[in-house]
Order: sequence, then structure tokens, then C-alpha cells
Amino acid sequence: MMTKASAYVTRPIPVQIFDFLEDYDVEMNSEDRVLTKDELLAKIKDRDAT
Amino acid sequence: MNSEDRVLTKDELLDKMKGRDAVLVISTIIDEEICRSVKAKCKIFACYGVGYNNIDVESATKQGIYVTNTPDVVTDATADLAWTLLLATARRIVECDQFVRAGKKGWNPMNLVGTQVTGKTLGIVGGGRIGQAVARRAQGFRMKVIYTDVQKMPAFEAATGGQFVDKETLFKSADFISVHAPLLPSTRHLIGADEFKLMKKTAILINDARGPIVDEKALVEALRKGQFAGAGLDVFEKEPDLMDGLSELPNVVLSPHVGTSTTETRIEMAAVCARDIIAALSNQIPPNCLNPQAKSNQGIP
Repeated sequence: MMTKASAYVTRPIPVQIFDFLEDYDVEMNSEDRVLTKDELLAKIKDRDAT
Repeated sequence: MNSEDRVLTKDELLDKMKGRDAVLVISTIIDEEICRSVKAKCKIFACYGVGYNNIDVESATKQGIYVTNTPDVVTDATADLAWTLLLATARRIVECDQFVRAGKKGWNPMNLVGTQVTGKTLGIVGGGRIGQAVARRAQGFRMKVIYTDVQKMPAFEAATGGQFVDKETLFKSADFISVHAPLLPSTRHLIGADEFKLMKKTAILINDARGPIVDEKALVEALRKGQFAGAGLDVFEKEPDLMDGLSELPNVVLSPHVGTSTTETRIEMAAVCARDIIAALSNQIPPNCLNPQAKSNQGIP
């Protein structure tokens, strides 16, 4: 079974993004702040899209 | 000219008006008693504005006193303000201003998100001069315009491309509703709880016409319940007082009855009043006379 491609959204945007990318595994940073560089590197490691 | 920034008491007013040939009236109540007391000399009450519900026109007419207003010169400034309120409410500009001034930092994509204006439906209540001017400006925003009035108005449609609908349809369909009706017994509380129930949850109401056209208590309740999204108001039911709770709502933009407050318009309003006064004192019916029949009552003791 193929795994879904994975995407990360770095800051909150309208939740409709999950519908628009419904065929992908999407995670969104729900915190109202810019991630530190280390946090960002950890989050986007192995992602197909950011 | 009264140099104090306040409305005179009735006694002060009667004292000041005694023996005058003309009175330029600004937000001052002119009732039957005043009309009777000045009738011997006064020829005109020149009202500095388009609304004249502060003047007892019937009594003035009986006493042979002309009443005039300044209808045409206020159109563009008032229409501009309706759009100012519409855009400010839709885009939450007052909240944005407060946010920046407070030095807040959360400048993220979901902060202070507003409502798009372009391409939406604008509903005009009252298709007169100002309603038309507001609707004409909507063309720049590629909006659909609908309007309601006591009857279909071909001049409105020719000028704006707007479509006549009944009040219920307008309140159900419009994304933005802008009020431009005169204050008459028939328009007092023209918009209230029943109309708010019809509105889209995302809709915005604008009123820079007259406060009592909107039931302000019902407005506060509807906004608290989230029956519609917001309001931009330049006029109030009991101005300068506000209905309890109105100023606490974050989704309203409020201005202190400044519809005609541009330097250009204020000067032109003064010029119009002056022309009307000069005409009346030259024994002519003034150009903006609301009661030409007063002439037939002049000179009657």
C-alpha cells in the first residue's frame, strides 16, 4: 500500500487547506508564532512539501 | 453666529432669534412656539444639512416662514462616508489600527481576517440621490447592486444598473446593506429584529442616513447573537447617546454623524444656505425651498 505524500504548513491558514490537499497527509502548525529554525527542521524533515 | 459649541436652550434661542430676518439652523429644534415667536420678521429657516426633521415645517409654513435644506451638495460626501464605513467594517480597520498602535506582534495570516468586498452584492435601502451615489461607487468593486424603496425607480436603475427588489429579498440576499432613506413616520424602525433575522450571518449593515430608521436596541441584540457580521454607523437613534452595549461590540465601526464633514462640502453647504437666505430676503422663493406655500401666509398677522 502506498503511503500518502506528506506536507507541512508552517503557520495557521484557513482550514480549507486540508480539503484542498485531501489526498495528502497534511500537518499544520497551530501555534500563532514563527517556529525556531530547529523546530522547523524537525517538522519538515522527510516531508514532500512545505 | 453662536460661537459656543453647543445647542442653545430654548430660551436662549428665542432671545437670539428675536428680530432676525433669517436663521441658519444647525441641529437645533425649531418647534411651533419658536415659529410663532419669530413670525413678525423672520422669513427663512435655512437648514444646514439635508435632514430637516428638527424643524416643524408645518408650523413654519403657517407662519409664512420658508424652510430650506442643502440636498445636492451633501450627496458625494455622504456616499463617500458610507463606503468608508463599509470598507472599514469589512476589513476591521479600527481593530487593525488598535492592534498596530498597541505594538502587537502576531502578524500571522489569520490575524484580523475580514470580509471581501469585491464581487459581492450591495443592497441599498432608499434609492434617492445618496443611495444612487453609493450604488454608482459599487461598480468599481464589480458588485451586484439591488435596491428597495416604496416603488421602482427608473432613474436609480439607469444610473447604477441596480435591480429593484422587495425589502425581504434585499435583506436575505445582500452581503452589504446600506441605508439611505429619509426619516419619516413610515421609516422609523424600518429596520429591526425582523430584518436582522433575514440577514446572512456574514452580512454587514451600514447607516449614515438617520439613526431612528434602525431599531438600535434590536441591532445590539442581533449583533450580540451573531445574527449578522457587523455594522458601520454614523447616526444613532438618540444621538449623541448610544444604546447600551453598542460601543462594547468589536464588530461595529462608529463615527459621530460626520457624513457631510469634508471641508469642501461644509463650505458649499454654507454657500447654499447663504443663497437661500439672500433669495428669501429679496422676496423670492429660495431655490431649495421645502414649503413654497409659505409665501401665501406671509404678511398675515
